Amino acid sequence: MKKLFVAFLGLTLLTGCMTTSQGVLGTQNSQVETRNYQSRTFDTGDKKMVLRSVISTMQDLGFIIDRADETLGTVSGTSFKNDSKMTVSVRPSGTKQMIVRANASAGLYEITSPVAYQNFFNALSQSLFLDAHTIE
Amino acid sequence: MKKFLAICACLIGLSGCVSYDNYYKLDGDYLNRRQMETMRFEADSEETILSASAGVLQDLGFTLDETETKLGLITAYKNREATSVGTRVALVLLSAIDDSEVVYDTEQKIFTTLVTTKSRESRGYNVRVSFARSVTNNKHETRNEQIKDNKTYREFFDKLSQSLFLTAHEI
Repeated sequence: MKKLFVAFLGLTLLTGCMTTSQGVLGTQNSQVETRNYQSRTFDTGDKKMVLRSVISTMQDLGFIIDRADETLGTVSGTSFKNDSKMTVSVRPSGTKQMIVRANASAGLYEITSPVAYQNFFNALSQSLFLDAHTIE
Repeated sequence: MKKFLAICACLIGLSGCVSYDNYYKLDGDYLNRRQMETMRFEADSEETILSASAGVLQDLGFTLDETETKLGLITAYKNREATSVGTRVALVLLSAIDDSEVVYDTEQKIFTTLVTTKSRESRGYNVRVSFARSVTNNKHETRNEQIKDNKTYREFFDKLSQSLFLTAHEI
């Protein structure tokens, strides 16, 4: 019985090592699937306004901003509400749309829950609405 | 056998997934917090406000970490003691009396994000500042927390108001 238990424990732990040995290029999903739930398109051509809304959304969600770059269109922050890190990038799609992509990780794990990203984009939509309708 | 199955089920559960479905949901209080963290100031330019804000953060002992003036952003941090020496001594003495193990905070890293935006309602700019801290105790355990104390934010904005006056008068 003990042997069986030890073997099971070993197998369970081994499943964590099935990606690349160093984990550098390791990820849990396909690129297309990941990009799909981590991205959302917004109908505005104003990149700066979207970036500012991303920052205020992250503040609303309890993030402290670590880095931001207007030229690259990126914002990175650390959440003090649920101990996670997130990077958001904003890039134009044509002249009237912006593609916003977010990726987050908590501790040693990447956040792969589409619902978590949906929550973030819902919050961003509200912030974009507030920013566009003079609610301060 | 039942025990074995239960342990196996737990191990599978642990090796599997933590649910992140509740992450990044806005709580019911976020608009109040946004209001507490934001104040409008009269100024000729965003640069003036940012410069005065950087001055206040320096006055308060923060190290500026990242600035992106095109987005009106400043981030800064400082490391400080989390509990005064007097409090620590008192806690140690108290623990000696009832022979309990004493746990107290030893150090904290305080972070801040400050963002300026042009006010749409009137002349001037809105400044939004958020504070948070990582606190470590004498058992080397760290916890993160947002600072939601109204007084802290009011005091900061009072200081910024003074800083704007000083900056305007080149002091």
